[in-house]
Amino acid sequence: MSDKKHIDRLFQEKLKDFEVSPDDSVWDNIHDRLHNDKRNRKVIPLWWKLAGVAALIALLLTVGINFFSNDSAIDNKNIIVDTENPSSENSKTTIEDNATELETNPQDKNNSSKIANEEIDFNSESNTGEDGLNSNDFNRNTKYSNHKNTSKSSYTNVADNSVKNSNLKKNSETSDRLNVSSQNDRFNSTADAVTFSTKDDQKLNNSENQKIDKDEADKLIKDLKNNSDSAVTNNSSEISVESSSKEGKKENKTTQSIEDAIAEANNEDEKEKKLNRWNISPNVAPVYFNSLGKGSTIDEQFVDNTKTSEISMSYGLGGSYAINDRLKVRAGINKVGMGYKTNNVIAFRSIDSTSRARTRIANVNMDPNASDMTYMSTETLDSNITPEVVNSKSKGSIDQQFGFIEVPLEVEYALVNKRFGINVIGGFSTLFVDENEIYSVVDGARTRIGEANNINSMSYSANFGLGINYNVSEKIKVNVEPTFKYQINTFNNSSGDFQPYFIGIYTGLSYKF
Amino acid sequence: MSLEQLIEQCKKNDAKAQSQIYKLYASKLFSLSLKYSRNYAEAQDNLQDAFVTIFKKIEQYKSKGSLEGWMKRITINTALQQYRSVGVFDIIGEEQIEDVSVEIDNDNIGVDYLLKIIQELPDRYRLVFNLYALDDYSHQEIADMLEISIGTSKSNLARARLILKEKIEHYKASSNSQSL
Repeated sequence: MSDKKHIDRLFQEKLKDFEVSPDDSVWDNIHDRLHNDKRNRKVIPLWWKLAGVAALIALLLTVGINFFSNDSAIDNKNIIVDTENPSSENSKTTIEDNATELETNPQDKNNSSKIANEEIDFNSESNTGEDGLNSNDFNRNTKYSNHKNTSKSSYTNVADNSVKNSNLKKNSETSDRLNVSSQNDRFNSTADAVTFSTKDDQKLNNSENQKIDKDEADKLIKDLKNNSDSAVTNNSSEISVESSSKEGKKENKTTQSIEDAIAEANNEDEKEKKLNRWNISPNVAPVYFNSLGKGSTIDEQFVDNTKTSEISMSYGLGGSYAINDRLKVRAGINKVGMGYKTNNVIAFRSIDSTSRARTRIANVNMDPNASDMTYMSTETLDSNITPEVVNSKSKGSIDQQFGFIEVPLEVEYALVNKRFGINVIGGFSTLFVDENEIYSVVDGARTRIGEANNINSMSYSANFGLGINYNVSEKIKVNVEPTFKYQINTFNNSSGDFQPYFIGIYTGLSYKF
Repeated sequence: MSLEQLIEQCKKNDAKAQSQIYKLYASKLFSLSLKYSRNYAEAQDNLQDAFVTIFKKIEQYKSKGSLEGWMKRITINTALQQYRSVGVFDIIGEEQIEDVSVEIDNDNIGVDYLLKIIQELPDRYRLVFNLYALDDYSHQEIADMLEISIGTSKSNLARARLILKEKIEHYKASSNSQSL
């Protein structure tokens, strides 16, 4: 009746025309993965573009600041030199006043020497400025002296010449030596005028400059004496020669004051750098993971089970850039682990594969060694109906553990910005899965049963935090930042209303540089 | 619309054309998935993964072979991939057995039962039996695909046959005793 046949052929023949239609849901899933996937992919590059732009801006700022800090230092120097000009202008006016006072002096020689003095200060002023200004000041000088008597104007003309002619300086030196005899009494008044003006300078300049100014004032006085000597003994051309020689000395002075100005500018630069904008802060945090709604990431049958959250750790490194003294942009990288326990689960080894199919855990890729185990929620079982074998089973739990590499991008705004500071933090994080394990804990034995297949490799979180910090020193701060992070798109197929979040108390040091 | 046109549309990721192709081949590929999987749910997952791969890689399909053959290969590979990643094939220390000729009475056995006993085979036996007996792969090809030796492939096939025969005979015996 029955003919013997090779087993392979039996199967081949029987299964040849065997066709089964899959569930409609299969096509829906395929369609979703092919088309929704695309939409997701369009969104992700946008996030990344934004992050990329932010990173680029940060990079440009860094480079820009380093690059322009050199330029701005030069600018500062100029500014400071400029600000010195008004001071010398002040001194100029005082000299002018003195000069006019002295003009009333019947002694012509005194007057001429006074004007020489005046010119010296004009020169010094113009030297502190740029070369272009030099000629202007000279013009002013000549104009000014033109207002005086003719002897003075002739002198200024010669002075102009003398500026051009450097050789005359040597002559002036010799004339200095020649004019040893003094008429001190007569020139006391001019010397006073000069010292008076230098006092004004002293007031206006800082202490470092004061010493130099004093030195210069002494020189000036000596020179003036010589000058007036020559005015007495020699003709006016010699006086101008004298003044030119002083001009040379004055140049020394002004170069010195420029050096001072540079030094000062550098100091101020350093001060500005002390408002350091960059911050680096290592941090560590206990992390508490939970869900806002009732649900399960593992399987529908566990929705109603009680969940116990485990406290895990997060640690990482952050950096921030201060846009101003209240607003900071920060980014970083953190390793964060999370986990929770699904309680009231029973496990038994199933013999029949069909029952296994029914009780398969939806979102877990089972390890081969655990593939013949069946896990069930006791919440769904009615103890009156289920066999005694099942009821007598001790209840265990399923532990889900997962970890992420978290890349936060946040803005921090300081509400209180003193030694003790308070700030609010908002932003988002990108989470990359780097750990994904599911364990069963039955009768105290913990065994790995597989991994979740519904955790997206990349997801996000919206972050809100409150930061409290204390300045230990100018550079070092201690921070405590309780932060709430609401996870978005972490699980692609969770049951119930599972809305995961985690709270971390981020504690760390931040170091300014 | 001809098959060529459908394929062209699928290359443009056209949802309608994809749906047409799916309707044409879903049941064939699902029965294939069922044989390679442990159960119905796993077979559905496999079918889903296979179709996603098919539509994503349809650009690579050259009209040389039949579309069905190409899709079958992808479906089988998707199934193997799952086991390859967990490495279930090389059971060290398992004694290899010689090929034996397994003959069986051609009785009226339901196809559902045959499928069930295939699915119940341990993974390493089921895959080799499917590949060799039902899908015409040689031992050399199987050895390459599963990263095992030809000897292991042959041995696994022989074990699969013996298990299947035993189950069929047991099934017959119990059904006969019931009918008596």
